[in-house]
Amino acid sequence: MIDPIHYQILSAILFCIGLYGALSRKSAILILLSIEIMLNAVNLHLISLAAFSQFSQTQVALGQSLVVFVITIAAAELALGVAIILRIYKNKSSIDTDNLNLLKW
Amino acid sequence: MIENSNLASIIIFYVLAITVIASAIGVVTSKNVMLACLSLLAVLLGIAGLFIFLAAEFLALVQILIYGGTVVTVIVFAIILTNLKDFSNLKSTKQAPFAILACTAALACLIIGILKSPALSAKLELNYISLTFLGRYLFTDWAIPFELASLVLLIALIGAVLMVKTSKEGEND
Repeated sequence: MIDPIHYQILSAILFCIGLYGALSRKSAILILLSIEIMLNAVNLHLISLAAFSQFSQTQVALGQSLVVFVITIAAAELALGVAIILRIYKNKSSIDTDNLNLLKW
Repeated sequence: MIENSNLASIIIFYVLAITVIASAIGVVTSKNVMLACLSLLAVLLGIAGLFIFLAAEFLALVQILIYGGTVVTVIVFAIILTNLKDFSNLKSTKQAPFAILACTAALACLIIGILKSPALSAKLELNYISLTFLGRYLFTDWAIPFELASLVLLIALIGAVLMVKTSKEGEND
């Protein structure tokens, strides 16, 4: 059987790859892609903690239902994010985040 | 016999893990936007495989349906509608060194935290729960948060439609 620590290190690596993408990409859509990777890393961590926990069945179900909520909110976040990106594209005809410096002084 | 199944599970885990990490690196470094999107699909399906490996079949199914089906489709449509292929330089050269620094520091902190936490490596058997148990748990103990989550999803989708809708009287909505 795989040691649970492997799953946790895998999810840590995935989270940091997503963090790198979110910080270094210029296009807003690619930033959204990187955020999806980060959310999936957190989901993997939650599932692995639940699957190897020493607690009752209720605690395992708690971990899995938390992941259900994370996936729901991630879907809502992605829909709103894409809508905002399309709106910005309509107004500025570019989604380069370097151009979105309206609030900068 | 036990050693054979152990070896098989180790091989499957490492194949899935290497696929997921390589595709994730492809997502954050690819010059081609469509390629990044398809690598994201590979990451999501690999994570679904890891969910099956962790005895969470229901969540693997949800992952394939929602992420593999919906999210990738929505992102492909966003790429088409924003005409992203005229992007010559996808990476910000000003921020990339700081990004590498920040994510290496975060990785070091996370791995130190994981290695130092005591309770994780105590037990090596997987906990199985049935789908019936999970469904009953979600609709009894967590019924109100579940309904609230569906309400949040509905409001977010209606808001997204309203935000991209073009009004007929021109730009002033």
